[in-house]
Amino acid sequence: MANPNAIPMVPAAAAQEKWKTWLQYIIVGALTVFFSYVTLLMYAQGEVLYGSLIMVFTAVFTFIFLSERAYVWRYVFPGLIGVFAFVIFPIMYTLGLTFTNKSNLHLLSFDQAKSYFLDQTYIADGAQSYEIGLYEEGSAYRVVLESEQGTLFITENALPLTHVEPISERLTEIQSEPDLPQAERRATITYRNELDSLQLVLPDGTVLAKSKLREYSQNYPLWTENPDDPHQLTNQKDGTVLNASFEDGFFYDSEGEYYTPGFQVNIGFDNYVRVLTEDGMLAPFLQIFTWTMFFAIFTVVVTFFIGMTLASFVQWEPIKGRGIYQVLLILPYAVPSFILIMIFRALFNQNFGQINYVLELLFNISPEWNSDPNFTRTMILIVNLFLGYPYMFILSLGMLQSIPKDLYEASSLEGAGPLVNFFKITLPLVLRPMLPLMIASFAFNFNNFVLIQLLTRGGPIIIGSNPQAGETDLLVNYAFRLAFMGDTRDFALGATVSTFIFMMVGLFAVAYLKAAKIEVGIKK
Amino acid sequence: MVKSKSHNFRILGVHLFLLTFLFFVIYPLMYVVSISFRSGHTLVDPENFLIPSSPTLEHWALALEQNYTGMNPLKKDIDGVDTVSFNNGLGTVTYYADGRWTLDADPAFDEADYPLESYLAIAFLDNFGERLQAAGSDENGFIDRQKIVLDVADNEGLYEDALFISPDGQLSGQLSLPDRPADADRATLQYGDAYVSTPPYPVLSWLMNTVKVATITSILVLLLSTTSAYAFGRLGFYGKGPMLKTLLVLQQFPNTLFLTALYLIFEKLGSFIGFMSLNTHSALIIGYMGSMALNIFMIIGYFDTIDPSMEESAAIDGATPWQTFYRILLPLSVPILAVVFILTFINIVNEFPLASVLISDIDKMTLAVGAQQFIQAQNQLWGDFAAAAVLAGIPITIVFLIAQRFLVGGLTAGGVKG
Repeated sequence: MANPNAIPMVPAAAAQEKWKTWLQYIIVGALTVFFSYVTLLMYAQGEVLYGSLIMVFTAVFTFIFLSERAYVWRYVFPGLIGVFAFVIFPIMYTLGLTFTNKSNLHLLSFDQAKSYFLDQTYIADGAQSYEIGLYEEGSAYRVVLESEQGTLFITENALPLTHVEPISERLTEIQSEPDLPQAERRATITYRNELDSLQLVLPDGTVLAKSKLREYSQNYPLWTENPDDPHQLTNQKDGTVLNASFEDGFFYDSEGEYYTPGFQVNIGFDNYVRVLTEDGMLAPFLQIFTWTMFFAIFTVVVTFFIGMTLASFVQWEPIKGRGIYQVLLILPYAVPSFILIMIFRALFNQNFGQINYVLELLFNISPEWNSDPNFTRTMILIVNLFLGYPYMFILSLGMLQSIPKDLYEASSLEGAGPLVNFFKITLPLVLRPMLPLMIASFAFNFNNFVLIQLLTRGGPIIIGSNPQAGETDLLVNYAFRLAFMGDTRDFALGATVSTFIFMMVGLFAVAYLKAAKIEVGIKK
Repeated sequence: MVKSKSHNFRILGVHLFLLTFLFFVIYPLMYVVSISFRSGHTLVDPENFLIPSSPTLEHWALALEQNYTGMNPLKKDIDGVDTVSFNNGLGTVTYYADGRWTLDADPAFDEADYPLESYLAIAFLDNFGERLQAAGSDENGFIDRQKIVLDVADNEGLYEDALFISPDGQLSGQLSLPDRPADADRATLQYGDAYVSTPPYPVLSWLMNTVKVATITSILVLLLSTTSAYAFGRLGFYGKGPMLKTLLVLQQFPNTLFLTALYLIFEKLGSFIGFMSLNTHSALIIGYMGSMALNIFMIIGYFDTIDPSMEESAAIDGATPWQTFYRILLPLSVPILAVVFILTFINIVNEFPLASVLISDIDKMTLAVGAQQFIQAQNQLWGDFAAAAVLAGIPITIVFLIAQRFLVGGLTAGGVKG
């Protein structure tokens, strides 16, 4: 705490009024109760990780907002929680995902996947079936079942049939049809989903479930667990035996066929090995990495020169209407980028776009902006220069104003022209303070997800890539594609690619801190 | 200094360069305005580049969530047929070979969309399907064009130059059949097919959602980052230097990199805490609370330029840290607070990845996500997109241009637009 300007922290001076203290206790108390309740709920549901995190959060929150010793932390705690919950925790979560096989096929835990199998039922051949009748009672319904022998059963209660949750209802035997208006025949179709989840229990304890549109039948669990081996399931219908494999998270039968759903298991470094060794992944990965670097560097360098040139022109005193030029040049920065990108998508449309229309008229060429990788990349670079130069322009304007005018006067006395001035005075003076901003811009473009996603969605697809990768994907789009766009939605593999990006971004961040010479708590 | 000839040429050259550059900058913006007024969803208008050849307000009406009543020009061949019968949106039209026609009104549309308009006329076409001039035809080649309006009976007096029909009403008339011109290929009955188009997407709701989410997020971010900046900049506590650096490093990780994790976290938390569930604006706002390190840093930088002696004397007079912060430091920092607010607001308006993952209901989308709905692989509604984009883009652009002079300082502190 070497900050000479720090105000001495003497909360003793903060003798606050009584009612304020009470208010503080009431608010903090109420929030503590709420968070504790959530913690309990989570533990009850078996969410140990989230439960523990929220419990720690609750304890720290209560301590900081009640203890005078933690007074300073009250100012930073909410912000830090935001950063922890929505940046640090997700990053760690992503790192954790890379060691699993989490994907659409492996979403559930082993227990959940097993109970999915155990919940499946089947209707045995020749089982007794019961026809459904629905009778209205107020706004609710009584279900009546008629067996093949003509025996009638009715539900003990009227059911509202508004929920699609699994419920169980007892039946009692009746001698004749109930004295209630019978619902229209199509009601069994209207309440199809509700009836599907309704289990009916006969007086003798037999459980019935819906088997056909208008029929209930006795059904049996399709799979049973081997009492000696919790990782083995047996099919009651055809005798198939499934063994859970914890190598790759699937249930296999004796012939090596896997059954879905799979479950989530830890697979160590397999994802990293896959990215770095598999033919269908390594080549696209390296190609995408090269393109991403080229895209980011090209954008930063060229937008810097465009912005700098424009700023030098607009700053030049003999030019009239400089204010108007300045506002118009900033326009692409002011218009929301998601709109601009879509406009370019329209202009560059390969078949119907205006750019190809003009090129065809003038030169009789029509570049394949949407299907040829090189043209697509060219289009992306053009659009990104358009989107990116105003930022550099605004920055350069500020920088140029800070250069002393007498430098130029001195050089013009020596007979130097504008080009000499630009390269010998302006550029060296501007480059140094611009460096951290250029690094930040590089980092931003390295992860310029929105541009690619809205303009090309990464297309066209790289031939030979498996899982699919796009020719114009940046690394971040590749990670997104793996996790959200493929058929399998391989979250773990997407997270693995993200991890490589984390490392790169970490390097940029350190470079940024070095270049910006950021110091905290020391003032000029 | 003597102005040489080359000096003047240079000025001219710079002007030319800037104007050429500006043409390419402004053309796309004018282009989107142009498609918003075009009929249909075509990207190229072969007759004109920017001025629509048949302008319409249809896309704008739809963007403002109004139904639009329009009319498509269609035709039927009448050579050698006794009767032609078809529906023109107002009802069933029957045309007889001698030029008589009847209309039985049976409109398929809601009364709120009245008046519906249509017309009937004879036209001769040449080999290419172009209308020919004939005796009694107007400049478009229509002969005896009769305008028909359908409206509720009370409004009958409003239409003096048109034939009037009310719903369930009947109308009949006679078209004159002039002699066929020598170069005519075929004779056609030209008519207007009335239609009502309904807004495909709730653009105004999207605009409201965006303003709501961006405003609340900006206020919360401002609140949290100001108090944090006060603690970091003015109060002493253990480990604040490394902590601030850590925050700055973390700021560099865009949330796109851990979208999966954010999605799974909200899915989990949402099942316990209602306001954090997927598909709610509150969850989206909370999800944005992670990115304020840069704001904290900008505000600290501004605090550093304020002389702390005032706060010190206030503290000596017995003010609590909160009072010195709230009564002294904050009023002095209004400019930077404005910058942080505007920057956050614009970032949130433009934010796409998180909003697209967390929000799936069409009604709850923000503009950045919603605008993509217009352009699907099979159905590209460029006209409607353009109107919605201009409608939404103009206020945001104006706010930005007004604010931009405040922004230069803020941007130099290291911000990058998202």
